[in-house]
Amino acid sequence: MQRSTTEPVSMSSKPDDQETPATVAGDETRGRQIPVEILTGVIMAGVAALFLLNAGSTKLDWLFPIVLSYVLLAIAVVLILRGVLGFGGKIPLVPPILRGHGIDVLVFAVAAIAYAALTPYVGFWIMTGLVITGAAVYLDTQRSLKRLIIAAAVAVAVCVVAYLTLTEIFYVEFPLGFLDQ
Amino acid sequence: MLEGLVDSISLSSLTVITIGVFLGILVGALPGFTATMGTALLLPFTFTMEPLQALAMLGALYVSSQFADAVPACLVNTPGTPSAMATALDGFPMTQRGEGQKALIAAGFSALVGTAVGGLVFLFLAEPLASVALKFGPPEFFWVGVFALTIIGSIAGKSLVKGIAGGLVGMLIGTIGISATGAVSRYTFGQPDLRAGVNIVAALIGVFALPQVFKMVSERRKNVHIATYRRSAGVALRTVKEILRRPTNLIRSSLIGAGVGVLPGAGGPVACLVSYNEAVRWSRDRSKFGKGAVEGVVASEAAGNSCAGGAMVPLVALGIPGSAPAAVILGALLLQGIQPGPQLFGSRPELVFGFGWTLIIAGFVTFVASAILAGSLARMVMIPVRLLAPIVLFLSVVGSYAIRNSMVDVYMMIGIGIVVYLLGKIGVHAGPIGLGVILGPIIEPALVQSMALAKSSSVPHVFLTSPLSITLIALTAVSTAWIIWSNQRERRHAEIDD
Repeated sequence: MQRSTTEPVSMSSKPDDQETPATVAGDETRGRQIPVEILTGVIMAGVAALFLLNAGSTKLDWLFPIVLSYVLLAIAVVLILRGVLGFGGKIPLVPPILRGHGIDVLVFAVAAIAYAALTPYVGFWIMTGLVITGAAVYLDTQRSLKRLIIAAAVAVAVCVVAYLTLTEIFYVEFPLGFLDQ
Repeated sequence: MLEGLVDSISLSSLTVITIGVFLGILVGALPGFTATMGTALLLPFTFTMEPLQALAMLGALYVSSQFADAVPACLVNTPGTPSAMATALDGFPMTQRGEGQKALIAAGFSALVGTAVGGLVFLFLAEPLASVALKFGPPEFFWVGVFALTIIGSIAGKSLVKGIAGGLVGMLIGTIGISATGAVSRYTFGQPDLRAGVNIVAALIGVFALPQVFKMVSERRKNVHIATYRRSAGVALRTVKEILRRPTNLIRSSLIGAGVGVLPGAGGPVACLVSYNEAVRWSRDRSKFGKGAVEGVVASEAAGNSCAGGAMVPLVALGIPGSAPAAVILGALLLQGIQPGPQLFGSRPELVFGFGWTLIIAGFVTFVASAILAGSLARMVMIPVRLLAPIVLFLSVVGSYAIRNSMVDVYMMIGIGIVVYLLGKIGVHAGPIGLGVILGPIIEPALVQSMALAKSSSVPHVFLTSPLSITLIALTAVSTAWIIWSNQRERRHAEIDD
C-alpha cells in the first residue's frame, strides 16, 4: 500500500480559487502538517454529527436533512480513510492558513463581524465610514495623508450614494444607531 | 399578433420599456436585490398605466435584471441573485484575464437571444406548453432538482468527492429554519432569529462574495487590482461574431431556459445551472469551463433570460406564475382587472401578444445598454484592491441586510463566508456549496410531498412510474455516467502528461 505523499500541491483548479504561494505548505512545517483529506473528513463528520444529533423525530420533516447527514458522514469516512491509508493518488497537506497574509484575512474577518455587530448600535453612517476608511488605510501599502483623504472621500461618497439609492428607491431602513435619537 | 407588435413599438411602449430596462439594470447590478423586489416596488406605479404599458415596464425590468445580475458576478465574483451563480463560474475568470468587457457583452447578447427565444416560445407555444407544465408534480420536480445536482461533476474542481460533500453542506444550510412542509423548527438551537431560515441570496453572497474579499485582501501586495482592464476597440462585434460562429450552445441554452421557465416553481437558477451543465457536457474541451470560457457565460445568461419568457407561459395561459417576479406580474394583471387564463388569448389577443413582443424588445434594449455600458462597468476592476475590498464588503453587508431588513441575514452571510473561505483552503470549492444552497429548497419540498403521496400508494410507484420521471431519471443517469467517464479520462490524460 502506498503511503500518502507529503508533496504540497495547490488545492484548486480554477483561477478564482487559486492559492497564493504563501498558503502552500512549506518544507519547515511539513512535520507538523496533516493530509488535507483527514482534516476535510473530520470537518465533514463534525457537520454531519451536528445535524444528526439535533435532528427531530417527525419523519417527513427530518427525512431530508437526516439522509443528507448520513451521506455526508459516509463521505467523511471515505475522506479520512483516504487520508490515513493514502489510496487514490497524491494527497496535499493542510496549508498554514494564518501564515503570511492570512493574518490580514483574519483582521478583515474580525472587522466584518464588528461592522455587522456594531452597526445596529452605532449606526450605518459612522460604522460604514469607519470600516471603509479604516480598511482602506489598513490595506494600503504606501500610507500617506493624501491617500487617507482619498479613502475618507470614497467612504463618504459610497455612504451617500448607497443611502440615497437604497432608502429613496428601495425603501430600505438602515439602522441609524444613536444618530436616530 | 401583428396588432400586438404595433402596440408594442409605439412611442409610449418604447419609453416605458426603456425605463423598465434601466431600473432592471440598477436592481440586477446591486447584490442582494432581485427582480422580484424590483417588480414589487414598481407595481404600485403601474396601476394608472394602460395594461400593455404596465406589463411592458414590469416585463422589461424582469428581463434586464436577469442580465444585470451578471455585472457583479463577472466583475467581482458576486452573484447578486441565485441565477447568476453559473455566470460567475466563467465570467469572473474572464475578468481576471482582462476580458471583463467581453464577458458583459457576451452576457448582454445572450440575454438578447435568450429573451427572443423565450418571447417567441411565449408567442407561439404558450397554450400547448402550459398543458405539459401541468403534468409536472412533486416527483417530477424532485427529479429535476436531482438532475440539476449533477452539475457538481462540472464545478467540483479536482475532487468529485469533496464537491459532493460541499453540495451536501449547502443543502444542509438550506434546512435551517421552519420546514416548508411541516412548519417544524429545525436546527435553530433555541435562537428565534434562526426560525426564518437562511435567505438564499444572503447565503450566496456569503458563499461567493466574502471569500472573494478575503482573497483580494490576502493577495493585495501581489495584485494591486483585482484584474486588468484592457481597452479593446470593436469588442462588441467580435464577441457577437464569436458566439454566433458556434450558435448551438446559445440556442440549446435558450431552449432549456424557456422549457424550465414554463415549469411553475423551477425558476431561473435551475435553468441556468442545467444549461451550464449541458454546455460543459456537449463541449469538446470541458477543461476550459470554470477558467473563463465564454460559452459558460452564454449558457447561463441565455437560459436565465429565456426563462423569463417561459415563466410567462403558465402565467398568462393558466394564471399560474412560473417564478416569483411572474407572480408580481400576475398581481399587475389582476390590479388592471384582467383575469389570466386560456380565454385571454381570445378576448385580449393584442394584450397577450403585445406583452410577448415587448419582452423581445426589452431584450434588444438590454443588449444595446450592455454594449454601451460594458466598457465603463469593466473599468471598475481597476479600482485598487485597498478601496475595492471594503466596498465589496460594504455591498455584501448592505445586500444581505436589504433583502429582509434583517441583521440576522448579515450575520449568516458573514458566518457562511468565513466557513466557505476556510473550506476553500482544504479543497472544497464554493460552487458546489452554492449549488446545494439553491437546489436544497427545491428538492426537499418535492421529496416530502412525494413521500406524502406515497402513503396512499408506494414509493416506487410515485417516483418511478410517470413517463416524465423516467425521462428525468434517464437524463440523470446519463449525466452521472458521463461525469464519471470524463473524470476518469481526464485523470488518465493527466497521468500520461506527468
